[in-house]
Amino acid sequence: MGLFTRRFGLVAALAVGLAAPALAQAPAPVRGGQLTIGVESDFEGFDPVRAGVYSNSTVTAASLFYETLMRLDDKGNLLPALALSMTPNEDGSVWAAKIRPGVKWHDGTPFTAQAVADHFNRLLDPANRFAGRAYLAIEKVEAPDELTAVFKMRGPNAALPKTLAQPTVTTLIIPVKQATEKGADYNRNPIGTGPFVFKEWRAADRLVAERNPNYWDKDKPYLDRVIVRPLPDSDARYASLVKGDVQVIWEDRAENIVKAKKDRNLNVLQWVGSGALVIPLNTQREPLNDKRVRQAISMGLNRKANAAVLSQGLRPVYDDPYAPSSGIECKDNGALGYDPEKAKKLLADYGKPVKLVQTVTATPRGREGAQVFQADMKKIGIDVEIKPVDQTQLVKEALTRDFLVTGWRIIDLADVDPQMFANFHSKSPINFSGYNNAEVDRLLLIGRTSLDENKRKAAYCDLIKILNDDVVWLWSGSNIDFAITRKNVHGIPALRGGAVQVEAAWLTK
Amino acid sequence: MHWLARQMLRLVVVLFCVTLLTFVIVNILPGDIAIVILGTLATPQDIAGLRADLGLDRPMLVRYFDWLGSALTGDLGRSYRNGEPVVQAIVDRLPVSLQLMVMAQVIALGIAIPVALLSVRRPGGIFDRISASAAFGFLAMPNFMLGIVLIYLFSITFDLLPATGFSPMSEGLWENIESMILPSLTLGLIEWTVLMRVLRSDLLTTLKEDFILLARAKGLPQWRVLLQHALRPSSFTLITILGLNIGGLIGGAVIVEQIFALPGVGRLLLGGIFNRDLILVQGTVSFIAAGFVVVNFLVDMLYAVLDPRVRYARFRN
Repeated sequence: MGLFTRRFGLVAALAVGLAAPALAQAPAPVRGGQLTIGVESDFEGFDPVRAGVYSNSTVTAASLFYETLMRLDDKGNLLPALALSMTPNEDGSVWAAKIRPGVKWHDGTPFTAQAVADHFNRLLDPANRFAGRAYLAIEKVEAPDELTAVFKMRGPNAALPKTLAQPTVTTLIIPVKQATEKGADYNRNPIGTGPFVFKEWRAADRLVAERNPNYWDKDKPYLDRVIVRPLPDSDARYASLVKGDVQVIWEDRAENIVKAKKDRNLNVLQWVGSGALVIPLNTQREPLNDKRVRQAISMGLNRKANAAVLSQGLRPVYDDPYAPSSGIECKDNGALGYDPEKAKKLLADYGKPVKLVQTVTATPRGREGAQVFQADMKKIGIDVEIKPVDQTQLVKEALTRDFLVTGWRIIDLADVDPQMFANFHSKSPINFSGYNNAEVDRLLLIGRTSLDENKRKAAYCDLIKILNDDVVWLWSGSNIDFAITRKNVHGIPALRGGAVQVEAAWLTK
Repeated sequence: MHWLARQMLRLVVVLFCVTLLTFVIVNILPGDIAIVILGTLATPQDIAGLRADLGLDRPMLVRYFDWLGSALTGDLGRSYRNGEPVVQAIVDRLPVSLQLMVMAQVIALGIAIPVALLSVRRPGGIFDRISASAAFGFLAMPNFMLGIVLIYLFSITFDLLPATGFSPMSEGLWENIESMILPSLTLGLIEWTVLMRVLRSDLLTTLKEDFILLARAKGLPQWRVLLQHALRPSSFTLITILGLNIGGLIGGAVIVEQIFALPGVGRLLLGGIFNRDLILVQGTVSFIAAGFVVVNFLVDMLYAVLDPRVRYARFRN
């Protein structure tokens, strides 16, 4: 579970319906009211094929209109949503989703298993070039009857239900028929099954949604109206919250978060997701093809001190990309630890001068991260040249393995399989460190295919020991997201992927 | 009319050069819209396919003349990112930017003219020195900082105005003006400084002219001398600066729209640049450039209205 404030934890737990006697005295949700959310950026649109990727701002908006098959509570347990259940066959290569009966799209047409099949098959169709399909490991989806959607996987897959439970550009289900008929218009006029109905989108200004009176969960949503406003400047966004123009903001500026924690009128919601900010090393290029050099870099990098400086102590640093929210806790993760003297000895053993080029985004954040890396490496005798480039250039260089050291992020997903497999399996097209280790491949396959959760967790712990010893990527900080609310806002669940979801949110006066 | 024809021809040449230059600059920017759209997991084949779909695999000049041909018919293309017609995107956001710039200009002139007039009453006096110091102070202040200071002052401390956001006229005139006061002030409070210094300098020169001496000799009060006799002949440089400052104002509007979350053309442009939405950037920059050239063309015309000597010289030639 993320590091929620105690009070928020109580409210959120109640809102997702967790049965806990200690929570019985928490106030009951109140119906009505308007909530305005300030997010960082404008929305790309609501057709995944056209939008390609969703920022967390877009996921915040899209979650008003669309839903996933399953949901996650704040502890990561699966809950029914558009599907009542998901059941695997014997080896997990086929999953059957029982669709909730009686659900309707906002235009009144019934939501059926065929809609689920159409949605995913459209994303999987190579002609649509939807890049997110690489994560899904789905071969195709069929609808044998109105209320059963059958997911045929490319192989046994244990992670599917959780992967489909986190709202993302891929998992929020849209009506393909309407999207295809309306074309570009649909991208700006979303129709879903979700708790709110689309009313208006004034580009770069506001998106307005109103309560869906026909929502399948009759008690929800509690709010009458939700407005999402893109407020790109973080100081102005924070000022809008303090003034009361908005009641919730997504925030990443450490100064504002520290200030908000001291403000009696505000609550800070905090979520440490799985994944991590990482520094990938290209293991196929000299001098990083030598394990001693990679280990020296790992031991010479004071990750905790650097993260404390860069995030004012807000961003925790772990020795793996799992984080407590993934549910994977390893007694021994094989971390090498900070030991600059040992790093120097390893470099002396290597015997040649080490010079590195670190490719980073040409942003203040990218440069700051590179500068602390450069300073630490200098202390152990490694020269680092910083190469700031445009973000898309960085992606291009990473995907073509045209780099030595770079900066990346493993995004927050409810199940670690899609990311770990994509980044470290030798056959993965996006294993851009060029890492090739048969044992790692074997463990990744266990993680992907075993239906025994304990076996999976053990495999991921064995895996991280190898990755930490081999030093393929350096884990420079956890994925942490913050939202700040006015004190009268309740019921916002874990900020998975940085999205603010308000289906269960409610207001007190 | 010769003069007018020459001006029109110049306008066309300038616009052609600006659009070509913009196209070249925008196209040599690092980054790739295909990666922005497809995300970090895109395969090289998908990226190449999307680039071909968007026509980005063709030579730059071919694409430019294609674009120019469509632009001449009023079609600036569709955003690569979300398919929105570029003309529509500009038209939707233009009123916000225009209102911002007009209000900023009114505020700037509303401060600059009285301050300049009061300053020249006693050059080197206390008011003149204070106004000069204030002008330099505001001039030195970056508008993103001034914007935040104004928000903290007027929105949070005094709770008078909204911190961010835009209310269209349809929500009420006062709501609309209220939402634009702080952004306009942010631009205007920097803009007035140059205008005031230029006008003050020209006023001081004019006040040494014989006709001013005559006016004073006739016993006219100081305010009438300044307002009725000195202000108009002193305003030519001011008008020139007003025209040229449109460029600065547009640049300032890009930042101010971002801070105050106004859905204007500046923010559209910035979003286009961040997303490498080349066609959107090309269309927006060309539109802004055309606006800048046209405004300066109108300023040129205004000289003739204000000064009969200019009018006479132009028509004689």
